[in-house]
Amino acid sequence: MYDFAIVGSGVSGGRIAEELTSGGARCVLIEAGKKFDRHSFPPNEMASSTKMFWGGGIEISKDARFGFLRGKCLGGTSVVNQADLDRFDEFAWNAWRSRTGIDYFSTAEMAPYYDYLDGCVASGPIPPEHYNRNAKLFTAAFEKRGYHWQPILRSQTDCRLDMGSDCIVCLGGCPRDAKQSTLVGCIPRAVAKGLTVETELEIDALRYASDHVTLAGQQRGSRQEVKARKVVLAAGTFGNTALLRKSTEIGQRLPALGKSFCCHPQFMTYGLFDEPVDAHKGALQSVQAHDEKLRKAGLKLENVFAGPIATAMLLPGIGRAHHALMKKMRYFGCVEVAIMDDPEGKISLDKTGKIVPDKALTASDKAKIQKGLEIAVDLHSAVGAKQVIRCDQGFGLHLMGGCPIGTDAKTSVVSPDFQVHGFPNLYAADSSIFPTAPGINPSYTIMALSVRASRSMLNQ
Amino acid sequence: MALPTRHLSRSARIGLDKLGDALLPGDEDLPAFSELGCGDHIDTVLDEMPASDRDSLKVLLTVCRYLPNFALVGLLAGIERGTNLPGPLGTGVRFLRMGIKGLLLTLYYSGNKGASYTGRNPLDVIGYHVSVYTADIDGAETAVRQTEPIRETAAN
Repeated sequence: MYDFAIVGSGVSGGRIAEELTSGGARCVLIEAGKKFDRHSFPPNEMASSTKMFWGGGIEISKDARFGFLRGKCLGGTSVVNQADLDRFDEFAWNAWRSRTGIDYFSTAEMAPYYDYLDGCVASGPIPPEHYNRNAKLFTAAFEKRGYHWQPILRSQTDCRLDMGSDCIVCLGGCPRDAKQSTLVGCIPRAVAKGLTVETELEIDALRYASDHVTLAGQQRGSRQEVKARKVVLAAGTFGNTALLRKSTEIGQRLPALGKSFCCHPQFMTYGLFDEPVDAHKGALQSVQAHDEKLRKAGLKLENVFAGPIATAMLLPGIGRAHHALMKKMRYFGCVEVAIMDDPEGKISLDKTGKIVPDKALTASDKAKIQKGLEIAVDLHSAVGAKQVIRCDQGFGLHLMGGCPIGTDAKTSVVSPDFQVHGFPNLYAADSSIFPTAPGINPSYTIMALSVRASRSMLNQ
Repeated sequence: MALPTRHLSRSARIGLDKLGDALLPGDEDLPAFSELGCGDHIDTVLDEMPASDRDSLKVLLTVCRYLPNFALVGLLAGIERGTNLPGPLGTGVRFLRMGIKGLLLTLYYSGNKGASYTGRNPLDVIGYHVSVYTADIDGAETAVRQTEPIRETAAN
């Protein structure tokens, strides 16, 4: 029997696997998706979307206003995201401390974990000489309108931007292993220390006993079981909630399960310029907003772009009008508007066991989005955009909550020690435990919480 | 001529092309959806689609096989205009928009084409060319990603 079984191999699962294995525990890391490597990543946007994401590419909210993207491959979403690293600020910690009653949610208490990660995780900003024109338009617009921006810190080694690498490719996996996903970092290091990895094993049942947990699921057409003394749920907001829900003996005893679902609802805006912007070339994301006014308004403005399929989905219209817009793709600059939403969402399962994410926007959410879009339109205009397109299709970035952390078992699922209330052999430390949307990229904080949780698990 | 695929009957495959042409009729630079032949690669998408969604899609495409073009254009235009409708009607419209446009645009801008198409790839027309330098790691020519069509093999 394993000491720990970890379900999910993303930013949390991969990190916990390495920490526990390094601490001498016998662990198995379970991933529902396939294992790819830099030679086998799917060759284009269509293939990567269908083969590396849950739902065959996208999952949709109950009211179909939002799409959700979840990586389904060894390494999870860390393989397909942009590897941004941001520490939480006191604004975020204050909100969490206030909501949960947990004292260690503070800059001072969490700093040692971030500092530890700074020593483990290769990172760096994109050098200014490699900002593409999309980034230059973004920074110029911010400066003209009196907003502050900062370089994004990314978990990467050498992307060879000097040799013309285009980072948009790594949305389907990095062909250079420059992006430091758990696939190339934590997991191989943990395997070298004895970690067992099981891929294409989708856990759909969990049986809890006082001294062990049994996981069961389908792996390449066969039913498999894994037993461990303890289980770490690192399958994210949707995955953790679904698994606990399917285990009726557990789900019924957790009144807060599936609640406090939150994300950073995101809408793209495109500015059309006379000269090519080529936002798809070079470093995809180099800069972001770092402005107190925007922060306090609950807004998160970023400089991004998307591949042609995603762009085509976002742009309005049909027929020749849509063709005309797509032919201008090289001339688009982009400002993404994301907000800190109210944690009012819910996750349930339908009769077939399919996840139903209910992410209706509150009045406050809608007001923030409207304000953010007005600012984005103004930013584009500030640097000479001839036309600004606001995209109606939203995406829910950074899925969070569903198993919120807290001291009160009536309003939380996970205790301050990262144990599921009433089930001390079950742990979680990923984004599912987030009590609110922080308005900051969650990856580094997930890692930090996962380190803290790992130490707690090894001590117990 | 549209042939059946692993997942689609001939009727559904024809319906896919008709619906695709309604959304993507082509212009002086870009090919029409059916002309491009990208629908031949639909099984790559359908392989990963949840079975219940796939079944609904097959029914929709089979119905589209028998609808005239003006009705398909009207359907798409109505879906596009109705995305902010409230309640269950709005939800249904948005699901249709995401499902239909998502499928057709995924195929059209995938870089894939039919065996008999010899014109310009839409990715070439819009100027989307991306790559990642790997010669220092692989000792080979620069890896070209994202603009290559899928090479369907037994391993796929």
